[in-house]
Amino acid sequence: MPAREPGAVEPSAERAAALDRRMRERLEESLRYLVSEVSGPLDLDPALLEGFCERLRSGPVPPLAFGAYFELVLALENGDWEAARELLQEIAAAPNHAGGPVVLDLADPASDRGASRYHRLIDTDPNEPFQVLPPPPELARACRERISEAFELLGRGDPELAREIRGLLREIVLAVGPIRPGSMTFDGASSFMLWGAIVLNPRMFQSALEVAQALAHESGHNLLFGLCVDGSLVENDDEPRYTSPLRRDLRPMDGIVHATFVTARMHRSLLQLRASGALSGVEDAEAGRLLADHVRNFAMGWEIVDRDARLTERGKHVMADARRHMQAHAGA
Amino acid sequence: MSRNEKLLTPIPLDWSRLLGFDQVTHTDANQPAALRDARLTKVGAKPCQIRNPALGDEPSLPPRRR
Repeated sequence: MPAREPGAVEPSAERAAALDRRMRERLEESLRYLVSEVSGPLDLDPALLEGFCERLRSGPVPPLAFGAYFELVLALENGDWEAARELLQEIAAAPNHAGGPVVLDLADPASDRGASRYHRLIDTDPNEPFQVLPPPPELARACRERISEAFELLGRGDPELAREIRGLLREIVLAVGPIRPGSMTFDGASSFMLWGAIVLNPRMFQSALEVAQALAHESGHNLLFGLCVDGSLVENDDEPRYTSPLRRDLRPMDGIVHATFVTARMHRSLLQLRASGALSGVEDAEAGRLLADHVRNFAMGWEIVDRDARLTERGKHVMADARRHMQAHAGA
Repeated sequence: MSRNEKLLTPIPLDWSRLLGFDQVTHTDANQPAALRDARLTKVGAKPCQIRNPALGDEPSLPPRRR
């Protein structure tokens, strides 16, 4: 999927739909390869996934179906054939997604299979482990209202972004982190392995504008996942770590590129919301503060990308577009 | 091959044909643990602005949120 039109920073619902189609095509190709390799050793019907592949071609599937695929690969790598067999059968039974994005409370990972997968596929960094937990009902209820208000705000002030987010996301999962001293928590999270899902922490958002920014941010990670479905954004080895504009811990270059790009995406959305007149006076003042933050953070991220990133052609295009946006609107 | 043997036998995979894992740029096949970490790093989660609210541990880098 070329990232040419209309530019990586400008939202496009049409591009979101194309990326989702391409991601499903790649999933089908990979699943067909895996089935050809394992149906014999696992005594499985080689046509086991035909029905699911038909559904993949017809429309979106749940993020957890993508997650099951990644867990299948890891099970095969580990030689855990029983788990692989169960995962293949689960994938075979996965339905199309009804449409969305659907806002879900994370269930208890200790007792719910889907929540457990969300937890495993979000908590993937051995250097920075963190927990996701079910949200308190009151917090979740308030956050749902803010999400609804945020979509209304984006619909009035940045409608193409609202449409793009609806095209990229199937599920918005509400989850909190532990608050005991010494534990780590998060504002939001996304994972290539959970294509179409984002996790938001309802403790962190006090207004519709903040949620609108979080939606632009986390869906921006999904956009990049889609844009690199046929190849990475960077050629850097993943071991060296760099200072991130949005994280206190050091991150691989792929993470720096992501953080820098989504900063430009949030900046663009705020400018659009301001220009549309959709913001209240209070929101406009908050937007002004956030815009200054984004300018500073982008400059910090860009300095590292410019100095140390070995961008692929796709990565160059994506980041040049982000840079153009910031230079044009903020002199960054 | 017995069932127990099967459970212990990894299936060699062509990672270039696997969605997401084909992006991994760590290529030192002599370091399987590092290679596995690299695979998970590439396709793993992008949690944003981790902090410790109980300690009032606001991030040392701006912005205030996100």
